[in-house]
Amino acid sequence: MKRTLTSKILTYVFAAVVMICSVFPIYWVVVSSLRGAKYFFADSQVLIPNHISFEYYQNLLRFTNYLTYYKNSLIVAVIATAVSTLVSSQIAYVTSRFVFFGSRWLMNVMLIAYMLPAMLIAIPLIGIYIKLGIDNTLFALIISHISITLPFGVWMLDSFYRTIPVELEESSMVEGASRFQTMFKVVIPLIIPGLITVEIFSFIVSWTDYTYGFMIISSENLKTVPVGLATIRGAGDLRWGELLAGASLILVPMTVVFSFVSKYFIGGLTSGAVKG
Amino acid sequence: MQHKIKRRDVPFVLVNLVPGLILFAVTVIFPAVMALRYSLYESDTFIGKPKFVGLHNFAELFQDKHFWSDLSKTLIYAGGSVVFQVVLGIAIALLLNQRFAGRSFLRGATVLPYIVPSIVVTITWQWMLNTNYGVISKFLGYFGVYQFNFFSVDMSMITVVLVSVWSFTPFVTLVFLAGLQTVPEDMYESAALDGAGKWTQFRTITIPMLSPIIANIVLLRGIWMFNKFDLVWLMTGGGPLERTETLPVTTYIYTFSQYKIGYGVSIAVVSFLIMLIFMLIYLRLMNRANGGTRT
Repeated sequence: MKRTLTSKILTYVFAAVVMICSVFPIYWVVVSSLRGAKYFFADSQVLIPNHISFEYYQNLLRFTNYLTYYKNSLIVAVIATAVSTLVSSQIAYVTSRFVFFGSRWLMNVMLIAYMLPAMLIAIPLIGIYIKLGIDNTLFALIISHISITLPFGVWMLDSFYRTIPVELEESSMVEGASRFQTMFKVVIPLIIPGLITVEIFSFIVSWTDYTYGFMIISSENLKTVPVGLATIRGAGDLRWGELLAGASLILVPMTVVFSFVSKYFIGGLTSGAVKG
Repeated sequence: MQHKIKRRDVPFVLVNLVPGLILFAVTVIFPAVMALRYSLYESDTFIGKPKFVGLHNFAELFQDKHFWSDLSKTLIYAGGSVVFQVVLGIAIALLLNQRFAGRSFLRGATVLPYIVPSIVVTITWQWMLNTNYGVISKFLGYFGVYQFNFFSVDMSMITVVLVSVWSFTPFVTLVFLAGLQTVPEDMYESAALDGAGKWTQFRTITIPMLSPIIANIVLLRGIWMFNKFDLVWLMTGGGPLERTETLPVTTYIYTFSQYKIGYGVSIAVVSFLIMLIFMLIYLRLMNRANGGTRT
């Protein structure tokens, strides 16, 4: 398509605005956290800092359980991601290949499940955890996160499996491979982009979750980063510097990691999610 | 493509289906059914024996002025944030679908807000909007606006909506971007040959092609925003003067601060029923639009 100079300029102006709106808040949190107590309020509106200090980071790590929160968050997110990717890839394979009593109903229930109010599920779930004596455990939190990521994974992967011609599997089975072998050796390698998308999505859901963590976890040493950071924020005097340092310790690694995987995530979502 | 399960496939199907379905039943189906049960009882703990009250919770709820005003706040929050997300989402998706230098970088950058946890979103914006030290307050100063309080009684809802838009638009953008990529390029080319300008092309090609996705997004995001708890709770806790007390926040407050578990859950049940009505209307419209082929 041919474009005039004005429309080209408009494109770049709009692109710059979108860029600033997306990235500036993240930049601002990191920059503010590095000012140190001496310049924190005095320089609070200086765009490019002249002084850098890790004072707030030292305070954060020394006076709070931030590293424990971090460790808990990683444990929960990694396990929830692994389990929900595995289980949803299994369910979706069956729903994409077989028709059986209730198979259509199952997919619809999964879609409705994805839209249930979190509170509707969370409150009874906590009641159940309390009765089972597993409330306030990371195990309960992991299970709860899977309840959100599993329906999404099934929907996403179902549409990925459907793009793979059944003939591929049939010829593999004609050659004598069992269905299990065919699934793992022929089909799974072909839906790796879908699996990566589900993994990233699950990780983000679990890593960013506040609602379930807030309601399930009460022990200080089991809190995840979002819950722990909210605790720090709620504790008496509002300490902006430490809070911004804590926020930066989430933002910076996530931005770095995401810059490597965003291509897959965007690709996966744009090829799978919409067709569903 | 799909076929019936043959006898020899039974072990395969069971091994793949059963673990996940048990997990799903325990974490979703069973709690959802329990929620219905809870809503028929009165209870102040999760352990003690609850008292059966039938539909009393619902009767009380419908007479509760609080509930109706919170419902309208929830609709304002969900509706407002969805409208902005859709409009901005389409605009940004159109931008990202053009060819220009740095496009793939910008694509990655626009998704960033999506991966920021709600507590970090809250800290970020409360800091940027801080009346005395916020960078945005400083920016407003250039326009002669000083000491602006974004969390005042009148502003808090608007602020929460705008921050939600920042946080949740990227996902909508991605979905629209995917939709745009399915629009064949030659449709635009032939329209251009017929002398249609950019705006006409947008109105007569882009919007009609995107309309099923727009309908989808409005519904799914609407439901999602209607149920949103964490961001609203963290930003304002429902205040000031309950101005941002949406139904999920009310549910939480009744259940965990006032220990009226049955009553709290009945609010969640009613929220779900309201969403279900929207969903059924949507499915009806979809079926009509597609001649009944789509479910």
